[in-house]
Amino acid sequence: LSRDDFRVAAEEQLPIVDARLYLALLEERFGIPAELFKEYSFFRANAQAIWIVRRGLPLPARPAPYAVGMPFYYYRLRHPRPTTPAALRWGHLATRHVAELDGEQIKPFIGYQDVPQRPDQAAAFSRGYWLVRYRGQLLGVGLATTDDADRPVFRALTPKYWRLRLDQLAAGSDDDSTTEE
Amino acid sequence: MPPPMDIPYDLHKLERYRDIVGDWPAFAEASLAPLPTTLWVNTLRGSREEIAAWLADDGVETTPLAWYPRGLRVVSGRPGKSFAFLTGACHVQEEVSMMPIVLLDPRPGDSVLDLCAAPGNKSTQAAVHMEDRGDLVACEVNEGRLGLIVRNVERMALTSVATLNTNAGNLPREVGSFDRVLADVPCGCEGTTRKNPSLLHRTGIPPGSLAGSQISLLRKAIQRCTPGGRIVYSTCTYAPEENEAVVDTLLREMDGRLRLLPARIDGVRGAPGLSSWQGREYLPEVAQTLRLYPHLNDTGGFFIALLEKASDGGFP
Repeated sequence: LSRDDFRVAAEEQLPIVDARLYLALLEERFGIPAELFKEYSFFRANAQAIWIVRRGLPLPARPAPYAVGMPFYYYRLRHPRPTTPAALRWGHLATRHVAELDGEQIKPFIGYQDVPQRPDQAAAFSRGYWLVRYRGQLLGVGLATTDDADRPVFRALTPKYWRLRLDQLAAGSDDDSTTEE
Repeated sequence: MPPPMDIPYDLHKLERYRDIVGDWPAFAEASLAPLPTTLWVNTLRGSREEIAAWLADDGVETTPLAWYPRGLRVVSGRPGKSFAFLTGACHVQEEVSMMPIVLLDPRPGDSVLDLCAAPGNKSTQAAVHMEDRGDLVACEVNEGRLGLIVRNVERMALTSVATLNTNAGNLPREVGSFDRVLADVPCGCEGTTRKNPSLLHRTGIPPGSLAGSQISLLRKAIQRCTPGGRIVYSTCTYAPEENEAVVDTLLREMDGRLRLLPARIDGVRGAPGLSSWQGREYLPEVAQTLRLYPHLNDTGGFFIALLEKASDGGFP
């Protein structure tokens, strides 16, 4: 197929950033190899997150895109962390700092509440970010830290719309087709 | 005049299709029955078997769709409550709505344009078909619905989708050209009565009144398609004015530079496109389009046309 293409590569249109720091963090903390991301580019989409896009993705010259790719890393935090979509997509490659939650812990996690820890976990959870797994499925990112009274807590870092959805489900207005037109 | 006894009052709006749907009593019964829930799996996360097992862990029993290797039909349980749904390992979508992308058949490395994308069901399905290694441009005119596309892209965790807020009917040349274009256009939605029975009781949009914008959108799809590329035109309505007539108009307008390919899927029962309606004769090849009625596969109603644009040297 021949293309009379007006489109230009994402790298020429977006505010591309050097993501080596974040890839190094990802590799250091979770063992996810940085070189895996050679086929992607990274750009600053907003003040919170570095976004990831397939390398060389051709974008229309006009009109300008509203959104491209997906959020990858929250870089403005004192301790940058991977986004939930990044955890969902590449978390299965992690070799360390993966927390397996149980049935009691999973609901507060989804609901962005502090997760009660089992005695064996409190000792094992080193401070910092953890990927969270439940029955073998990657679910997102959590933070092992301490509360004001210096007690260990495991904090859920899940997207806001998950909470909204959970509220909808609790209110009994479950519409399984949610986004279907 | 009271309605004939064999037509539930609900079905009055569909009565104009009595003579084209084949088995009218079966059509009537199916159109009022609840719609089975179906979903497709995000194969970037796991195989259909793995994701079906995750769903089963959450109390959602499924059975594979025979015609679609990525599809599952829900036997019991609420998939919208499952972790697999929340985390984008699967996506709830009506069975017939999965078919346009199957016919468009995007492959890794392809470029795909979706003209009317929100909420992004078919866009994300296409990107997953391409293993997130193609490029997909999703257009949506309604600014308030862009968030739905972005959220679905994030849930599925896709890196190859660009979303545009634009009226696809006015897409400029600068948007580029694409190997595959999907025109899943706004329509009268008569085929969705199983999901939205209230449609049968509302005055709604008169059949065919959207034909003008549907023709513009299909024309734009053809313009933005690379020579030799494929276009899928689809609606969820029965009105021939919005289906065969639109395709017929563009076939005549393109005068040999556009042709229909058979819109057929193994394992799916459908009816061929109509040859005429209310005095208007369509080109004979319009029969290659696909009409889907609720009673044929226990789905919603749908219409799909699969088109090919001539390469610069014409058709091979």
